[in-house]
Amino acid sequence: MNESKLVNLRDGLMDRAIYVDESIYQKEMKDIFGKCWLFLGVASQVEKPNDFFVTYMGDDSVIVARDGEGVLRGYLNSCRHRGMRLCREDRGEAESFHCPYHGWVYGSNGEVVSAPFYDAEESMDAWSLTEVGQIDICGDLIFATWDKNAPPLREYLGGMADYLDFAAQRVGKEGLEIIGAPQRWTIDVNWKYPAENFSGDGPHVPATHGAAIEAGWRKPDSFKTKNRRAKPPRQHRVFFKDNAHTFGGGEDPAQAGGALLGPYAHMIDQLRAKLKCDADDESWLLTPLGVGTVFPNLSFVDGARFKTLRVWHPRGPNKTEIYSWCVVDRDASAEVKEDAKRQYLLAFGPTGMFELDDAEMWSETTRGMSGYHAMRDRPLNYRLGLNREVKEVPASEYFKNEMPGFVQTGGSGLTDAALHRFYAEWKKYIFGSEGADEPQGVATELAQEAAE
Amino acid sequence: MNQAADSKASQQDLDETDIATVNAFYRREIGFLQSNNFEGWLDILDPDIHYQVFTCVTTKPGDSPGSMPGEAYYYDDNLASLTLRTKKLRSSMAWTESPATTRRYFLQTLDYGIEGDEISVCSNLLVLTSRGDQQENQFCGERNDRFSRHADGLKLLRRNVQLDKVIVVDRFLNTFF
Repeated sequence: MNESKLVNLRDGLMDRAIYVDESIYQKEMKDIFGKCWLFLGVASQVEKPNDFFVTYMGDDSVIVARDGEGVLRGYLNSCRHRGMRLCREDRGEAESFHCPYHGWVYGSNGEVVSAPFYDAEESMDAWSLTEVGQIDICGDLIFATWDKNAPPLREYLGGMADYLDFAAQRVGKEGLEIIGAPQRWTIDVNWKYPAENFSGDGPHVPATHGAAIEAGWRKPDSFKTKNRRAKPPRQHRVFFKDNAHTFGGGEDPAQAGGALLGPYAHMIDQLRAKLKCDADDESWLLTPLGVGTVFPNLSFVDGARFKTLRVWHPRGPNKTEIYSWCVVDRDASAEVKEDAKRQYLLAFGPTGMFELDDAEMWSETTRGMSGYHAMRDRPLNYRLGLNREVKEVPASEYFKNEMPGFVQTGGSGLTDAALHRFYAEWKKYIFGSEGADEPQGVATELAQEAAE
Repeated sequence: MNQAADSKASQQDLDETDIATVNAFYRREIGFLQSNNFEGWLDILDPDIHYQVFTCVTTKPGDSPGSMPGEAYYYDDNLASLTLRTKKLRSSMAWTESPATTRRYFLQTLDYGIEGDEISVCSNLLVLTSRGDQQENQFCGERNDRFSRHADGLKLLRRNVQLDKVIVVDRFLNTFF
């Protein structure tokens, strides 16, 4: 098929079909969600043997558990006998998983403990739960992939792994903990829109989030203030040449300034001040990290007021189910943790005064592109910055430390460059493999038209 | 979770006048919320209001206290943060308010009680919302309120709403409960 028509990075043009077409979605489930390392949860969610929680990998329900020996495991949440969803709770503690349909019981190590009527007839060794290909932890974050042959997690994360480790250890050695259970909600939008948004869609902030800025929750970007002589704050975007993981931050951390700052913001100020005193380098610019996406569907806000992790679980081409956690440094004070929770709820999640406007935009893009003609209309514009040279320097040079990757700099240099890297990675998975199946449907139709 | 049973003992302490005052408060509050008069609503909150709305987690019946349904939350606010939220809703760039949401509140009081000078009320809440041509939602849950007495009447001091939903469907939640 004509891949350049779907995602044309040279001209910054994206075909609308990739956001609404069922055939592309099915290909994503196989080639992206079937191969990439996917975020599952925070290590503190399964601390003890037999702890478990249930989440999704792509559109598959999975159980993440510590077995009786404390080994981290990931299982397809589907009984081998008749396919029933085995675990129907969100989380808990269980030595075994019972399927109520015909009474099969699996140990937390995935092996069949008993299968009524079968036990007497044959060995059940071959009927253990289906496990994920690989499961591992980085920076206190649990990831898994269906692909047994995928590179190890740290290799997949590349330079991003060092930044996740850095962020998890900033207060103490105990890493991260989650506050409460994840918030869950759905938005009628393709999963790529939220993922690309957190990859670096600076230009949407003044338009989409004008109300929260106007109300005084967040100060406007400093370079747009009336004081023209004010030195613009340093801003950076960290990226890597061999993957699409990225985040942006800077002198003014995400969600800096504005009304109702509390103990969490003071903690960040203190961490920065300490880094400035202790070291000759400029690691303080990485506390907090900022806003980013780990390809394909984990995004985060590590900001001045709170930290959130969220996964954009695909639910068909036009629906995303979000799991969003408020995450804090375990070694932070109780006062800081309470403030983090309140600040997160005030701004993000389905009730957050900042984030709820995103959901409105994303839902309406879906409606805007779902008609017969709208789906086939001319491609979307991802051209911002295409005719401008984007300055990039090694991160080690910019931060004067040993951090990997590169930094794209410039406060007013808003571009779609990070989104191009996101879609370059998308193309790599969708078209990269030899003999990859071609999606059918609108995409094929478009390709045929282009060929004619 | 269900505080209705706990406060039964003190039910007789609340006289008919107080019950009438509470019910008048609720009628007034519903009026404010249904007409998007958020400023009016803020006026009937105690300056020390602690406003919390929770939703559910699916766990095994009778599972350990660590899996209480109340830990997944949507609002945890004081007067300052509620004021900021309502200020945001008034912005000309509050896209979630245009088109506006129509809300209908249905309240069924289950129990009244008195603790010291404070009145407590437990009720069932049903809120139906409609917005634009596609967004319809319904929320039901249990609401537990505590009121403080002031010269100008009752003010809402604590509100704890337990919604019965695990997943909030449809974009966002721009409703106060």
